[in-house]
Amino acid sequence: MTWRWREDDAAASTADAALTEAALSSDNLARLDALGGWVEDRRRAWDAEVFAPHPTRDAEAATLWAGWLSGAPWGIKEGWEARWLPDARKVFAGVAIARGLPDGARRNVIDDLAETFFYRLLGAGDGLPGWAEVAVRTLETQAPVAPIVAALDDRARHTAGTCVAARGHWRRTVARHLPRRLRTDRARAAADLLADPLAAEVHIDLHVTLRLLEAWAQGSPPDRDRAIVLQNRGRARGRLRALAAAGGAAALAEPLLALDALDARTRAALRRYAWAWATQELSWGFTLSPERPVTPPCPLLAADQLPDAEAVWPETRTWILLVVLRGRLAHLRAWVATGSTGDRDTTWGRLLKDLPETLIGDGRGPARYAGTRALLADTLDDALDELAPVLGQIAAAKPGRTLRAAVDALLGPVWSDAVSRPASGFPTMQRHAVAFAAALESGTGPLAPSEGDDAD
Amino acid sequence: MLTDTQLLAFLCEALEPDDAAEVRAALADPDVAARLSLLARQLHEPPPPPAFRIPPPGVPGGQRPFLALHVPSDLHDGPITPGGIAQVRLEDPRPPDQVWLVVLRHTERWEVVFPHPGDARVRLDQLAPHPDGGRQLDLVVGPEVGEQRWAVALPSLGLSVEDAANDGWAGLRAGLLDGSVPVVAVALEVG
Repeated sequence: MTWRWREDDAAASTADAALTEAALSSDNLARLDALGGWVEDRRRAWDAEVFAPHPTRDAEAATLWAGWLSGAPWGIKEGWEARWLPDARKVFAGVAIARGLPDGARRNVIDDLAETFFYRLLGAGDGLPGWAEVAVRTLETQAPVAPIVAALDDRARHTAGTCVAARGHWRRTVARHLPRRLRTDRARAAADLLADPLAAEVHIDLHVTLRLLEAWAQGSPPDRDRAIVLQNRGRARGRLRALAAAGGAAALAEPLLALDALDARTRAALRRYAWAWATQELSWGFTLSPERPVTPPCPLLAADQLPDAEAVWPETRTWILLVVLRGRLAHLRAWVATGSTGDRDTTWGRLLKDLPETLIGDGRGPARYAGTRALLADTLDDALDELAPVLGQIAAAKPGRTLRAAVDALLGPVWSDAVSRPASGFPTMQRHAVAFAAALESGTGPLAPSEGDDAD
Repeated sequence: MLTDTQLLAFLCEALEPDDAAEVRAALADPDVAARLSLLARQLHEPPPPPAFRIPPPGVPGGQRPFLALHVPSDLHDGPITPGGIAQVRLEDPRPPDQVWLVVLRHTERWEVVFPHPGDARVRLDQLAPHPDGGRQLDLVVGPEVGEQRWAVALPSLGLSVEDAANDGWAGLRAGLLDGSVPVVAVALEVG
């Protein structure tokens, strides 16, 4: 692989600072090598998964899929639920146990999820319908990346290229790997690259490598390495999944119906999707919206609508920390995904007022926040990852009269002055930090739901 | 360290193959295998039935018209003897031959104390008329001293007692939840 270290785009400069010779030391190369071996092992697990064909059941599955693909799902509701709802119910039970729901609430939650599941698959409003997400996950049973990339149509490739050339950390990866002077040229090159599924996978690996080197330059410990790999791969796959799903029946029908073992593959995909959906619903206050996709879309925004992620990173991260300390992370995730929290929570209203001006656009109403939401969609998980240590320290601080001073001291080094520093409510903030740390520990995770990282 | 969430996702076959392979490898550790086994038992147990949703004494439950339960005023002169009888009056606007009687008592939680499987179903019109109107129900209170909470629900005729009880009173629980079964609770002072 040829590395281009210099080019005239500001996007590359931050990464350049990280990618010094020290970053490519023998220790780091050995660390990369070990991680590469681990990634290869994980890839082999995909190859080892076997789906047994069953001609009768596969034909029935194809008929059921045809109901979704033809836009006439009501006729297959009974058959679809008879075949796959029991699987989904089992998954819902698993999620309910994982969330530690009290016995009395568990059955109600399982029943409500089961009752709503078909309507989520049906979808509503502008959001991705669930059936398309399941269809993509069914294609994905062949391999983690290539089948999704192969299902992208021209429009989806264009969107993906534009997104990766302009957004978040991917912007730097693209600037380095596809060095063109203009961003539009880089976007086009990235879109072209997606015509080759294998090249797309290599590109994701490159991105993960750069993220690791950047993290190591900042002192990230070895026990974080695998999480960095999983999160970045998961997010990339999630974005591609959303784009493929947005292609709808026109893009998905042919590859889907050509699959062997369609029944077994659909069952596997449905279980994975049901887990992600139920986890998301329980994380976001169980509002059971049929409009809310599990796979977040990649909204196309003009470059001038997007805050520069690098430039506003300190205040972005600080505001997210404030949101967590105020116990509104679930609200934030819902807002980023849908533009609404689903309630009229006054604490959330105050948090929005605390958003630094640099993160807000010029429009009126929800349009003001389009860039903010897109920015947070790109960076929220990275920010939470960075904030986990300080939140853990706040959680472990001694309660009582010294708490305020202790929390103040911990916030000092990470706080940006662009966000008002909390002056009261320290015991409550500590409770929220404890809840964050506990969720991180249990794996039900404040970092979940993350795109494509559903059960990690 | 695998979390319970990862193990549950594995049990539900909701993990992607790479994550599932890592769980399988981790099962060589007896502690992980034991945790998985425990979670599997939990997952395969039927979830407990939802609680009986009964409003506090004095608040009618269910949709209008409400069922009313009156405690005769002479009972207020003093507590009821432990194990004694509290005569209460039920007033319900529904046809008394169309509903049947279920009596519940709250100890640690609400439980049906009448009927049990094997008991005949008792329609409301099978209770003696009360001189003040409605029907009279004799509640035999428990031996415990202090406040005892009782409730009466009147589901419509439908299931047999056996079917209802064997189903964990799921129909009654659902009816109390959605308001289709009238219910009323009372607090009796025993001492």
